[in-house]
Amino acid sequence: MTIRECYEKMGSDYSGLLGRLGSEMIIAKFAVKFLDDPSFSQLESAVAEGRAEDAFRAAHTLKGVCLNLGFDRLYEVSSALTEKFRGRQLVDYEELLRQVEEQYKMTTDILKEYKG
Amino acid sequence: MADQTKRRLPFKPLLAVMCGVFLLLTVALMTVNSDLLDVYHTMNMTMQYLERQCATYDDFTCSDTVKSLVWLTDKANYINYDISDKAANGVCIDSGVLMDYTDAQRLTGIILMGADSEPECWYLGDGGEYDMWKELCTDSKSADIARYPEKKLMARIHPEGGFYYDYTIVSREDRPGIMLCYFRQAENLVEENQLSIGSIFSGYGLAMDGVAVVTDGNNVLGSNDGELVGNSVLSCGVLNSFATNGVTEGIQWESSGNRLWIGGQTSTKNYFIYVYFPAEAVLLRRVPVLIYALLGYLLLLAVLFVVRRGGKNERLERREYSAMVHQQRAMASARKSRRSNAKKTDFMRKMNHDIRTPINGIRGMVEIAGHYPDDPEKLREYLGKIWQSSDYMLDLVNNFADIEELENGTVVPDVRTFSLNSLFDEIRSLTTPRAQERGVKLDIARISGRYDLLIGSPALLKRLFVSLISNAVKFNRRGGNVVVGCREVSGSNDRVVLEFSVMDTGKGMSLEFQKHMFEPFAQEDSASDDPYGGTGLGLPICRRIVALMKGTIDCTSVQNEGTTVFVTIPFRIAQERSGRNSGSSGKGAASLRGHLVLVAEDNDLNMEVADFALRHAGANVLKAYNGREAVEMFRTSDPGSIDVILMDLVMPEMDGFEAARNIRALDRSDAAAVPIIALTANVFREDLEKALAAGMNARVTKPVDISVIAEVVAKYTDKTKEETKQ
Repeated sequence: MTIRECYEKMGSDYSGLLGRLGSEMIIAKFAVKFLDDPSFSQLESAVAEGRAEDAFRAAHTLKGVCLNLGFDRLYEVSSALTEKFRGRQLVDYEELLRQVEEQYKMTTDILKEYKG
Repeated sequence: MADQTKRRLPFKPLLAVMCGVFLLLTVALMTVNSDLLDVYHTMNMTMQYLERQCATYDDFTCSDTVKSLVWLTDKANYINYDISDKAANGVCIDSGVLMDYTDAQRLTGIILMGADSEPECWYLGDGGEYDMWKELCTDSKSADIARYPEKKLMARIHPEGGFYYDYTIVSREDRPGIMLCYFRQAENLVEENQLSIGSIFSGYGLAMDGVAVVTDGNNVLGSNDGELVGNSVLSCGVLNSFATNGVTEGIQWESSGNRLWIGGQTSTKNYFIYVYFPAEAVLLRRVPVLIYALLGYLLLLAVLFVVRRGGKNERLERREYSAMVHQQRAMASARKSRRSNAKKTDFMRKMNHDIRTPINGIRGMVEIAGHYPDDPEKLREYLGKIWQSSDYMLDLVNNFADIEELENGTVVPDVRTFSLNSLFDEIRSLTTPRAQERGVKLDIARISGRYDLLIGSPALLKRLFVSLISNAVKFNRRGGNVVVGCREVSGSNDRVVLEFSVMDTGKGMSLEFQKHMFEPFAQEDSASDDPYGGTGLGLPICRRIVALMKGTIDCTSVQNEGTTVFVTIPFRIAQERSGRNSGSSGKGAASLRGHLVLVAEDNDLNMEVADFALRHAGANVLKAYNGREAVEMFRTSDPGSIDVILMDLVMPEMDGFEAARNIRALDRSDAAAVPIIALTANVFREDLEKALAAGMNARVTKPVDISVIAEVVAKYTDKTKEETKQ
């Protein structure tokens, strides 16, 4: 699987990302590093422990990372979750969090498949 | 054309009549031909039918006779056998015995002939005479039967007298000789029992009043016309006519009395068959068809007449309308041409006046200056006025070239990404000197819309606002104000409509002049303090420029209070488009070679992406992983060493806003000047306002785009360096 196929499988705009970062190797390098990015686990633990401020910050960071790496689907749901947490209150977020988890799993599964 | 129409008109009814006659003749011929074919077909079918019926009749009659004769022969054989038996038993066969046989076997008579062809005895129950049968009993046939017992003779005879006689002759068994047995039937009884040939017409009808007749050559045996049956052929006029001419191929036409008949005839072994029809019944039945055809044709003519008349009227109307339109166009064109010529004349007159005025001024100043060669003050004054006049002439020529270019459609907007604030900085620098010169305070507000980077035509915008601001300055009073503002009228994620306003405190415009303010060379007297006023081309040029950018321009003005011009223009938002899609600003990545950039970003991956982008553009990067680190790194750096700070807004320990405020608050020479650019994933206006309020200069939204970041950083670092130099 190439990195382009990887992005296409995620439903992301690879051409736009390539136009922005300019190098397929760089994209591949950053994309694989996402597997070690702590923002999602920080989000999960913050939510689990009821730390609203940390949950907002983690969701915001995850959203930013997804923007930078061109993970469009995960960006959309994490952006929505960020706005949900913007008021620093953990209410009615369950469905959005579930979607973020689902998209995160799909994204990381594909990246793991790419990484081999 | 009219003559041709007149010549054609009389011909058309004649043509219609001829067509009608032709149509009727054609229909008549077709129907007659069809009728004759119909007659021929019906006639043949009828004759074939009658031929078959006559043959059947013959067969039936023959069969009936044969059955009777066979029955008679059977009786004769029995009697022959019984007589032989009685004779063998010594019984004397006499007329009494024969009478018993005739009674028992329901015969009429029996005659016994001897070997010498002489009668031995007989019994004739009908009271007849032997002589009637003598010839039959003594001829050669009977002699043969006597000689050859296998032979038999049986036949039916119909002598005069009103009876049919069936007889049979067989060879005698008791002794040589023959025996004749016969059976008499009354004529009417036979004929009643037999099928009458007339019965084949029972229930038979012929179309077109046709008549079918069967004769035996002399008399009519049967017919569907009951009056003919039993008559002789000669007495039937029509029939006689057909019979006289004999059998022919095809259809025969015969006249009888005053009537014409169509028919034919055929013959079989025993009969003559005739079928004929009255001609009027055949031919006149199609008259309704001809009437319908005629009515149809007349209806068609009527429709054609109406359509043609309507079409003619329509053509006439169309022609008249076309002529009217043509005339109106010609008149409009003539009016336009006259207006155009008048405009040209007016234009030339104004051009002549506007060019001649400053030239005369220049010539006058030069001439006057000649009188004061040793007076530097006077010379400076006159040179200044000459410069002013030439400046006006240059404006005039430039404006003329501009309007010519815009009129010809040769100006194409150079659409690209640009910074609105940078553009207005440029406009400010171009227009401020003139404003200062005229004692007008120019205030171009910092654009505080949602976005700084837009996609549009900065060149056209610059022309537009330089022109509008120049006008506002030119037609202002000394000590007056010109304020340029901007607000967002509407927008979406990737588009925004901005309304710019250029307000002056000049003399304003009359309502009458406002109606013509966008027309070339339109000028209001004494609107300007400038000795030459304006060229009258500025606003027309502005309107054309705005139209090119798909915007609108309008104004409000109050005399002696001032004028405000409103320009509304739609733009696309560059960051959204470039960030999410193309990632290109349209200019390519600016070089940051040699710049030191401090990046504050708490996420390693985001930091790595920003680091890559900046290093790719040639910058050196200092990394701070939260706001506090950023403040500390800036505080401990050599003054002026950090060219720009890219600040993430949401960070642990200290967010970007607080960090920016702390940096600005530092007591060092570059603390206030160092550009701080917010790097955020948010596109909300309040974030930008909050960032600006915290002392940041601009915002770049994620995702990180090498070219966008490099361009913005380059812009602020260059500016900072220029300001530092000053």
